[in-house]
Amino acid sequence: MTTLLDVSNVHKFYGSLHVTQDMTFQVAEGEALGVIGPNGAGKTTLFNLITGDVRPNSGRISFAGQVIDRQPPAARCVTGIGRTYQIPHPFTGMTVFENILVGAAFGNDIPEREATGVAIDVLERCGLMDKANRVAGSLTLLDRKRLELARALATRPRLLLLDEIAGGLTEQEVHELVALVNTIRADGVSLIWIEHIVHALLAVVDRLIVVNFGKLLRQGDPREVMASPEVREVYMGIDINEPA
Amino acid sequence: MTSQTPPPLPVTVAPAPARAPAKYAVTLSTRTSRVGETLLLVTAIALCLMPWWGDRSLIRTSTEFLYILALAQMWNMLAGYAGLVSIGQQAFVGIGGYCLVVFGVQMGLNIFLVVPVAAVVAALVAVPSALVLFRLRGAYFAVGTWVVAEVFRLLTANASVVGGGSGTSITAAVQGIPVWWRDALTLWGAVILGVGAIAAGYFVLRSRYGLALQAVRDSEAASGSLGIRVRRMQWMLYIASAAGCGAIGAIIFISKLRISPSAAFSLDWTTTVFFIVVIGGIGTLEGPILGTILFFALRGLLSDFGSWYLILLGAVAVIVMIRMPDGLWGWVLRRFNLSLFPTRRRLDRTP
Repeated sequence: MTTLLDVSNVHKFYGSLHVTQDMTFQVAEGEALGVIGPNGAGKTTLFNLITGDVRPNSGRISFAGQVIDRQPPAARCVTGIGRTYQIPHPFTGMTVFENILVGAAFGNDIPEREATGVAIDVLERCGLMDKANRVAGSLTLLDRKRLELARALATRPRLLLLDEIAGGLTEQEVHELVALVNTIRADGVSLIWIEHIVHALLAVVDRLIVVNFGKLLRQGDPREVMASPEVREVYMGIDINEPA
Repeated sequence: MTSQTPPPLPVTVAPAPARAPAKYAVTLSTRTSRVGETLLLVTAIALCLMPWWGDRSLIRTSTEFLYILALAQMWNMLAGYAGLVSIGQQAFVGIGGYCLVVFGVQMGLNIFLVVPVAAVVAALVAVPSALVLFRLRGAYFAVGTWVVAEVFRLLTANASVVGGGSGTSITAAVQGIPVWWRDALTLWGAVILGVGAIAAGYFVLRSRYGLALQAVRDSEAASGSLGIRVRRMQWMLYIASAAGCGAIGAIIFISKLRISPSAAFSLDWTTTVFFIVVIGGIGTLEGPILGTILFFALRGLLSDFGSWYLILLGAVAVIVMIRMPDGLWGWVLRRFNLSLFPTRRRLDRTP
């Protein structure tokens, strides 16, 4: 398998706070990587570094063989990195359809006509067609999360970064979400998924990394990682089948 | 500032089903949009014909109404769509005004031809200003724009060639132009700027670029992550708004015929439109129109109250901001889902 994303020796400081310390890992084409760690461990910062919302102080990030760490977020999106935010950021004054249309048109850099076709496919796939003309500001949390994912999908990413998309959902909704994420994987999209709901994560990912205090604590087979003494210690004995 | 786009990668995207989107149709126009378009056109024609049917004081009031409306639309474009809250747009109003002195009075260019020149000069000045200001964010950006405006005011006040701190008269540049023509041309210039700003905004918002504008208005972070070049868009809007304010500044001081640094670079130009846009409804095309009407109505009603006028105006602003945080038009939009210039794309299944 070829490497799609290569993060090597990346450091990030916020003042004297060392939020990302010598982070090194790869994601292969088609692979799904899970990220766990306590709150404040620097998981979302890792995403921000990959998407360009935050610039690293040192180190290198490459995507599909190109160094991307000086590129603005928009350029990284067009080359194939899609993301969702932990707290959904819908365009509240626009309709669900228009929200997705933005991702389709600008994320692929294509004319609006062509983007409309992409947006319609995504609406159907994510079960949002009946809400297409609703203003995004009026959506429930579940639908906001769906929209967040749908919009990222509309950019037709090669690598999709999911930030706690299962948080706050009911068991049934988590189940549906896992099914949807697995269909995205089946299309050959690589994934990095940050999630506290470990059983949802384990139903999807090939590999798991554990982040604590900005450092990569351990990586490897999901079940082995979950059973490791480091993880037991970090999580203070939290049962792996219990939603955190 | 923005780095280069890399050459396109040989992307192997997820295969999008090649289903024809014929099952669905997107509509942009509605009945109210045709009403809005017609209303705008009829108003523009009526205003242009005003020199033949209106008296002088009506022409002058309409001119003022239109240039304030245009200024409000410029500020709305920045604060409402680009997320750039400026309290220094008077910098470009002043620069536009002083172009009249330099190009009109001193170089003898026809004063109405100075208006487009003023737009160009303001845009050119905006480039170095933006280089400095775009390093700042949020409130710091706002304060920075004010500082820039003050710098231009002080520079002008110390330049004796343009009259220094006490200002100068522009009357010399309009001698030989009959009063009727002067009033008519000033009005037409104001119509082009006021109605033109709305028409241009409407046209752009309905285009593909309009999607990006509305997206940035609602969330800058999400816009970037979906492929919109937010920074480049903010640059373009900042420069376009500066050009607009420059032209408006020229029209303003053609109608006043006297200019001084404190009048040209006055903070009032920005606070007035701030009031108008926030009360009317920020981030909409209709809001600034409603706000300008309200502002002129209040000013007319309260003009006899002396300094109470400003206190009452402030009270109105506070009440509207507490009761209707998205302005009068935002309230109308939510309550009645009414829009004179709709930009929303409706997706419907076709039978």
